Amino acid sequence: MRGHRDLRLVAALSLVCAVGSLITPLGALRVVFAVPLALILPGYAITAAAFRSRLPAWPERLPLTLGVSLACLALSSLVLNFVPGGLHGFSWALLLVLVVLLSCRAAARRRGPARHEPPALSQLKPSRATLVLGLGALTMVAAALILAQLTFDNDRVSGYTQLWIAPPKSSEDSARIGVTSEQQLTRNYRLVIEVEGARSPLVETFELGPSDTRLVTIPSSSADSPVGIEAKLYLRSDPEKVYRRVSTLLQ
Amino acid sequence: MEAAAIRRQRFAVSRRLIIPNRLAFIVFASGAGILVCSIANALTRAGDAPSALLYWAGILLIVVPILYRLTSEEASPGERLALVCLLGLALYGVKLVRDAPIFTFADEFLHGYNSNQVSHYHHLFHRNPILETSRYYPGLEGATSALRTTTGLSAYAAGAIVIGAARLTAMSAMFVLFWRVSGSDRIAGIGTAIFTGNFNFLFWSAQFSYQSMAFPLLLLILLAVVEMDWGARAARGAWRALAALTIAAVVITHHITSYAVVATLLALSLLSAAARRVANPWRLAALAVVLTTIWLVVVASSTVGYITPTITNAINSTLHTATGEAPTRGLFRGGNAAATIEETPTAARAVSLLAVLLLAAGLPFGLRTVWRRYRKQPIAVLFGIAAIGFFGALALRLAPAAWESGNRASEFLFIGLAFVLGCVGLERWRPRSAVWLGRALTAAALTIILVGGAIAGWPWDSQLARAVRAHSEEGPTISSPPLAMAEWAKERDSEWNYGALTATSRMLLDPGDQKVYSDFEANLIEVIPATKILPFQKALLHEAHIRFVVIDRRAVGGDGIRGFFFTEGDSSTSGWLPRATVTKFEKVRGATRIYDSGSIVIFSLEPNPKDETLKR
Repeated sequence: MRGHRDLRLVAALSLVCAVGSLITPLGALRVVFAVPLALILPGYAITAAAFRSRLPAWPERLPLTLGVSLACLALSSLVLNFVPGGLHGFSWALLLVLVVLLSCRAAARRRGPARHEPPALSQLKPSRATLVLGLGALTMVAAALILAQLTFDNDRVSGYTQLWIAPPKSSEDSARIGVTSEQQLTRNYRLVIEVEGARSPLVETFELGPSDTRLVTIPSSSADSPVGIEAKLYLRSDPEKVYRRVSTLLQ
Repeated sequence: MEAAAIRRQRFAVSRRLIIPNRLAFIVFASGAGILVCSIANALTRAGDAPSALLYWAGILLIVVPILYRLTSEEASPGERLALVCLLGLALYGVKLVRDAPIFTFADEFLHGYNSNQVSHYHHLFHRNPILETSRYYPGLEGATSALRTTTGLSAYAAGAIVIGAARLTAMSAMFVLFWRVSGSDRIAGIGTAIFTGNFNFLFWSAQFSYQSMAFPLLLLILLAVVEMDWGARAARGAWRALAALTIAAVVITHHITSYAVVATLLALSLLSAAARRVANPWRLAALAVVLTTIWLVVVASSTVGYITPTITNAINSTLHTATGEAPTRGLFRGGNAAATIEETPTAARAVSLLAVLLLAAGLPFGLRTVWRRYRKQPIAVLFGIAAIGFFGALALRLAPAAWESGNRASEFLFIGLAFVLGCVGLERWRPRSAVWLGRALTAAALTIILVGGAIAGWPWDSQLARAVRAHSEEGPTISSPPLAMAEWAKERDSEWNYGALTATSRMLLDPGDQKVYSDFEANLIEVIPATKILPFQKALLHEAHIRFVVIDRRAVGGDGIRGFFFTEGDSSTSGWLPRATVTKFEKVRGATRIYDSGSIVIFSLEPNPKDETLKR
């Protein structure tokens, strides 16, 4: 690859990006390495290998770089699917580096002696005003995306309350009854749990704030046959009307 | 000097102009437009119901400067390429700022689940209980796994990056394709901008779904075919090799797009043979036929059963509607017609219909130019045929069961229509008294086409996001009923199968990560909304090993667009399913009600004795 500056750069970048994406502790920072490794470098290298010295003009290179990278990823996933271990971070990084390095090597061989071509980006000399406007646009896009991630106060959405019962799993010896509030405001509840064969129902009164959960545990029955459990939830503001109801059979 | 060298030289000159301040102002306006759209979405999620004008002002802020500049004579090819890429990405930004940020488009849940399965098991082809066919086309999820496994990103975040790259591929490939065919970067810019006016561009084609990745690759294949025809002879092999690689990727990514690739390449081969072109893409066509057939027969044979009923229903529905046996489908309904939804305002309908009228009005002028200048080029002829075919697909929107087929076909056919309309040449009209008139009219028409397409492509009341999460009046965050149910199911992490319909089933897949059946499986589409359950239906549930049945009584529960969100306080419960849809399960022996949130109830059925061996 001697003399072919773009190929050397691409090969070196692939190694840096692979290592960076694997060892950087912060996930968001890994994206900076992983995106070029996955979506740019394979397409550029494969295109360079295919075209020998007659590289297409850069308007063609843009869709080729991105599109061939996407195609390469789709097909590579099929390859990795049949490799022991499958699709892991390490296997992906290794495969993509191999694709880039082999393609760069093939491109260098097919191109023949290196020619000096000024890098395209060096001809781009944005003015100060352009830079300011570009940065402003980037800031607004970042603000828009951050705004889209935020959760807002909304007193118009209809709140509700969940009542649920989870029969014991094989690893557990008790059933759980839960009340989870998704209401706008704190509410008072009365939970009545009737266990088949028990003398009196279990009654709990409590208040729950939004997103709070009240859990009640019912131990497994020692009886041979399943025991029915029914839980009824009442709002303290409307004590006669069953608000929610669940039931199960406890083994 | 050969053509490629001339192009390179021309581009080298134009490269110096690529970042003039004018373009920077347009970039700035696009950034501002995305921010305005994000503010409009944020206000909606906060329950403030901003004026729709705010959102559409944001869209106009993005598109008007770009479209006006694209009509100019002096913009360089590089600047036009930058403009169309900016247009595609900025409109993709409008979709991203509408997201929750979790998946909220019906197909995204299916592919999000597939992607989660790949990340969990480190292999492709894991079952998708709702859309079985999707697992046999793992290209998108495979590509996304490269980012997910190396960065730890969620399916949503990694998917957004992959689809963004695909969007950039589509815009740049289409621009260069139109440029090479027409020889005019101005036609290419305008044609590509017109393509953004197709009904699906703003939202449907921007979702995390397999067609969103395969469609741009189709454009890249078309570009390669054109370059083989017009580019340097020595580069033909390279273009052919890259086209072959891309065809293989499309075949494993999306069934319908792979059939579109086959159809397009076969048509181009025939047209090239008729025109006696030296560079006939028949080898690529043969490759596409062979690969698509092998994949369909060996790997994805279930696709036949998935697509055949859709096409058969579309044909029957079209015939019934055409003969007057069935009523036409109402326009501007958008998904669930039964739900009480806000109607599309008359002005918006007018813009949308005007957009279609403009498309139709431009067609004869565009076709005339194509015939005069480009009829010797097979692909230009194909574009002309596709442009006419688009209006046939448009008619399918009037037949209820053919609507989806027409909608899918229209996106592919719109490529041809965009090229043909790009050739109209209204922007070159310069009357002495108002030399700016042609450009202004073209920019206005492009804006109407783009906005009209966006209105027609997505329901008016759902252009802006609603809340799936909100801060309660006391502060803590609360979740929408289907989301809270899915989170409960995930926390409980049952080994058993769920049965649910549209909104709840999608959210049980992702983020619920549960094995859930829907729609026609075990006749759920009839069982859940019915007020009685028949013995054979109980048997079907039993046979499908469905242990938990989810009944969503909300009017929007069966709506794949609106069903994922909170309902607003003033929403009526009059459209809810009757109470008997829930209580019918209380009469089923062994069934117990294990979850009740008012609108959503889950029943646990008696397990099938075989279930112990069929647990996940």
